[in-house]
Amino acid sequence: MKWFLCCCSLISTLLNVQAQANCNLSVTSNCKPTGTGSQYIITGEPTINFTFQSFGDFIVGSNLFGVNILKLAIEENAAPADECRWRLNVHMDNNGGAASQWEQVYAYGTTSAPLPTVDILEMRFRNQCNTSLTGSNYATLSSTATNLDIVESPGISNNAGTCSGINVNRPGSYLTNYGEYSFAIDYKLKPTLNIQPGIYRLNVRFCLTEGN
Amino acid sequence: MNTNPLKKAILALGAIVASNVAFAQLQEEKNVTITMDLQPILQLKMEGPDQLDFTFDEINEYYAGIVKYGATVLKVSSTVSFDLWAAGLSQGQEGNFLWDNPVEYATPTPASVDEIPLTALELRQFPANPSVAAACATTVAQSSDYSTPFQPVVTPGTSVMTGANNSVYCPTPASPYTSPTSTAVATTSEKYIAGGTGTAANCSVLGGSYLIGNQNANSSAYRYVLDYRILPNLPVTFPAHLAANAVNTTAPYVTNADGATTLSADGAVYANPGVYTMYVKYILAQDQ
Repeated sequence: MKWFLCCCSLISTLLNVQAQANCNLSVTSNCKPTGTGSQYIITGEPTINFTFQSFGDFIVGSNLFGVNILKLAIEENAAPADECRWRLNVHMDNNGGAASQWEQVYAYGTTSAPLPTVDILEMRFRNQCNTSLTGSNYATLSSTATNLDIVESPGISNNAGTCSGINVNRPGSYLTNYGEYSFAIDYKLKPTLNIQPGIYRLNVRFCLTEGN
Repeated sequence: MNTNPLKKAILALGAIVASNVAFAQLQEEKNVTITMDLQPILQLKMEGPDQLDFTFDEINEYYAGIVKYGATVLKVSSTVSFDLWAAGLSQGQEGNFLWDNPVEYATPTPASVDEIPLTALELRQFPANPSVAAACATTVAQSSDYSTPFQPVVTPGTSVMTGANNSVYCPTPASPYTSPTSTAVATTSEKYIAGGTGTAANCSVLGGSYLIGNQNANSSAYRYVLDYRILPNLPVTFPAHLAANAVNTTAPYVTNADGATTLSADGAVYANPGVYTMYVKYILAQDQ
């Protein structure tokens, strides 16, 4: 019976990890899950379309400011006390394509030019207190196999309320500390010349998990 | 201990639930889908007059021809690899590959015909086709552009010229957008201004613009200056069109245009006076 229970527990854990490999699950459970205390909300358009139809578009690129806003409210479990830390990161999915390339949905013509790389998509995560690890800079990902941390501070607790410093990762809410628990997302997309014309797709995933 | 199987199953199920509760964690993701519509952009800017008039009313103009230097400047902006070529065409009033003749100053006779081949128009480009200098040797010969100088008639009164390479490419009128077929053989190669046949490396110009990068007019692959020449000669036989005077002797467009006229090299059959018209399309196309 004990072996049976252990196996069930292990399988359950493995399934969770595999389903969210890029979310880097923690082994601890000190924060309350969403739906049972914590909240994780995204506002804005679920699909963002960039259309490049002039030479100037290709040279200048396109910026969209504050298209999405992430709002967090994190609560911690009663025990152990003061051990809840959260982590927010972003990664990309291209439906199984090469790790560095966008998914091609439709090709215009038959040219053998290369596909666009995922690093042409730049993202910036802004809030009033500038708590993002990337600060006010745009950041990129060069592969769908890697994550970009927005908030991550293993072993170090950074409490909210002072509106100073990065990596605020302790319980709190956008309702009381909006400048530390919300992130406006800017997107910048600048295609390069000599890539294959067509329609491309990339899924951007913002992952909230318990921190270490 | 009670070993009832039902109780065991209930205990096991309870343990699984407890296990999942123990692993309930803060974990959620939000998804945003980004779509990118990259349309191929090919922009060709043509500077210069839309109409060029060549009026031959002096004897020396017949012998020396009239040249319009820098009459057309082509500027390219493209996001994709491209080919650029000129296509000489007419409405076909006098037949395929021949100039139209809307006004006749005299009635044609057996010796005086209104059949001027389109290849009588010569072009000269600067700079040269980048694909000639690059390693597109399999499909582009030195004769695959219009960069060689205009050649004079060797002896006035004859139609003998130093072999030239400037007659405008003229496709079949039924398919005016057919691209030239450049080859590695000088005598058969049809001409591009930039690029060449096929999609092999260096047989096209990479996407770019005259606005960015190399803005040196001596070497930019995105800016071309074109001169025009028409050389009637006397008798009026337009010697440049003759296969014997063309480097591209057996290129299909030269052969077709030459075969469409009865103008003879010896001047026994010459062009009838009148107003003649034709037009040139400059075509910028994605290399694919």
